[in-house]
Amino acid sequence: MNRKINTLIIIFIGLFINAQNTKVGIKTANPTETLDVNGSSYTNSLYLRNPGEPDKTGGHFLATSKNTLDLYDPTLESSGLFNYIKLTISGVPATGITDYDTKIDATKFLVVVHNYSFQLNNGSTKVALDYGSNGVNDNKQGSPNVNTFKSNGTWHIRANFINSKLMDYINPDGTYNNFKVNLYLMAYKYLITKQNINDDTKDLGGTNGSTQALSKPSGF
Amino acid sequence: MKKITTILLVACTSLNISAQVGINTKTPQGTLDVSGGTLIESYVIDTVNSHTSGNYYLLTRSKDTTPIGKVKLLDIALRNVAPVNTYNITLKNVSQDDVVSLNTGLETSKYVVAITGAVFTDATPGVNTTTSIKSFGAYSTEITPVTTGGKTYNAVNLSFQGAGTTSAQNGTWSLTLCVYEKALVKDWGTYTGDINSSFTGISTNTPIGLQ
Repeated sequence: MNRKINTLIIIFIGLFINAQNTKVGIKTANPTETLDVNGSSYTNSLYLRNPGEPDKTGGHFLATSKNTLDLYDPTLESSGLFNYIKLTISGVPATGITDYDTKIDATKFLVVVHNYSFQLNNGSTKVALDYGSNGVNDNKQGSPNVNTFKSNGTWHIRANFINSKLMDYINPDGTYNNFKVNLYLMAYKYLITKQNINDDTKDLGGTNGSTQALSKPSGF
Repeated sequence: MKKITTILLVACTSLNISAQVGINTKTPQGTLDVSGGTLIESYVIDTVNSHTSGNYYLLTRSKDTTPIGKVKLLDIALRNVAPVNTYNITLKNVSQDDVVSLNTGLETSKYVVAITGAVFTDATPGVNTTTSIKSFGAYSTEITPVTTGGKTYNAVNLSFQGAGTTSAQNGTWSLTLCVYEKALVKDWGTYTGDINSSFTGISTNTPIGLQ
């Protein structure tokens, strides 16, 4: 019994209860919320019955890196969830780019090309295409082939036109060989991405697909 | 003073006899249940605003716990679907170069879908001879809604508009779909502009939230 009283006394050294508005303060005599803990708190799980009103001015996302709730800060190096970056590759030959290693870590990021432009080295966008790379009007056009792929643990980029050569539109004699490619990339951090979804191949049987459906990956 | 003593006594009773403590509630649903705001001034939620470093998890408030609102980690290793997903699709034996409203099976109410890196191979988009001056078709990739069985899905559209292919050969499209959880994305739909045959223009109807 004596021991129990001692325990109670220890508890009450830092516990303050405001009877008027039922606020409880621990190590504070002026609790400003229903429970106000001025010190370390440990819990095995945390529930937010009502997380409160929407934060209309931005606020911060919360994250945990140890056992604490911390602020998610996109400006810290290697911590951003969405990383938007423009990649400019110069000295590009008429055949375009077949494999450029961005050195962006494929285990940490998912990289998507949002859009791109092909330019002459002076920034002019007067770039023409020669299908068949033969200097002849073939009445054909090559598909854009601009995308990212994973190789040896990093993201690589290809940027060209199928079976075509880049040309200087003003003087399309096939001798210009110094193009520039701008790529606007989004690198999503692995924390919010799924990349190991299987590729899907479908034979449309010579139709345009309007009466068919793709197989949705499991889980969606 | 007497009142305070009583409350203290009640607090003592709770703290020592029951394993659960309620503040402003008689039916605590955890070891400590605070029916009201909780301010923790250091360590757990730090008023000095410490930032995450190194490896971290984002936190979410779960909707399917009892009681509702347990704070959980967003651990994509344990989920089939992440906020951001990509997968590759190969469409073979396409009618020349046209793909029209091909259903992805992904509902518009749950996912925002975007196409990236669509490449056409195995056939060559040709010249469009039905126009008075022969023309090449414009490379075009779009996601449009398609309704079937009362539900609306995201559908894929790919083409070199009106071009067809050399010898009407059927081709192959290879593309990457980016699938975003709707909970993450504000889908603003479409807004329009008209530059009246000029080279420049200024939007008059940008959604307020984007201005």
